[in-house]
Amino acid sequence: MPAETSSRTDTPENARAALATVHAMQIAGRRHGVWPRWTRWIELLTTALFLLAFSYGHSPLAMMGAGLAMLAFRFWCVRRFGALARWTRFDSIATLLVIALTLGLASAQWGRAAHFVPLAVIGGWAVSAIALDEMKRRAASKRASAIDLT
Amino acid sequence: MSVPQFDAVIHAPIRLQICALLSPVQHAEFQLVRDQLAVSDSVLSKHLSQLVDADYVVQTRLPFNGRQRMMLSLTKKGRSAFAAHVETLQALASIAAEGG
Repeated sequence: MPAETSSRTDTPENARAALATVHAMQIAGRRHGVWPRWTRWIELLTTALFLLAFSYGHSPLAMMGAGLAMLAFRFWCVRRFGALARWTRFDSIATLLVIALTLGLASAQWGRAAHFVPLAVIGGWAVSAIALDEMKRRAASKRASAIDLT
Repeated sequence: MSVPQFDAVIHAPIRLQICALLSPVQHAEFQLVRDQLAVSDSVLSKHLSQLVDADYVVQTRLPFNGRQRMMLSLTKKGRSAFAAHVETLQALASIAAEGG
């Protein structure tokens, strides 16, 4: 591959400006692009662990731990990559399936306590969705300032 | 000070931004790239064709959310070239930091 030098980026200041642009574009890509498949598999795995703990654990602590692990992963994704994977119909179906299974298992296993568990699960999802949305907005404003700087 | 060697294909600002946008993801839509770079379809196509010719980017039509969309992705060769280009930029930027 031929290489060249250029007056556009041959000074350290211009190189830093170019790196800032690269960083801003990477954030934009992570926010709106289609992520590598492995991120989806990890998220599905954590969801499966949550369901497994719910089905076999018979323990509120195990269920809560798995649920928290799942939420922690989603928050980590936002911090690490700038956003969650792009939402698709597949995600909507998977989410509905998880909620339906959770409600069904809660009703079957916990009797009266089931009235409380679904509310907690839905509440957790709602709170995490609001928090994630806020984090995404902050990432977007950060990206906008990075673009202004360049 | 040695003269930095930049990749001729990625060196142009628009093409550098295209590669940066595609680097963390598997695919990105043509429309998304165009909007993020704030360029016209023709300008983006022109720069994309150079990246495609260099075997740095591939364009594919994929069904996404029920519609056929033009998706762009970096090839393995493109990722390596982009990583090397960023390393060169980082090395150059670090000269300023070390110097003062």
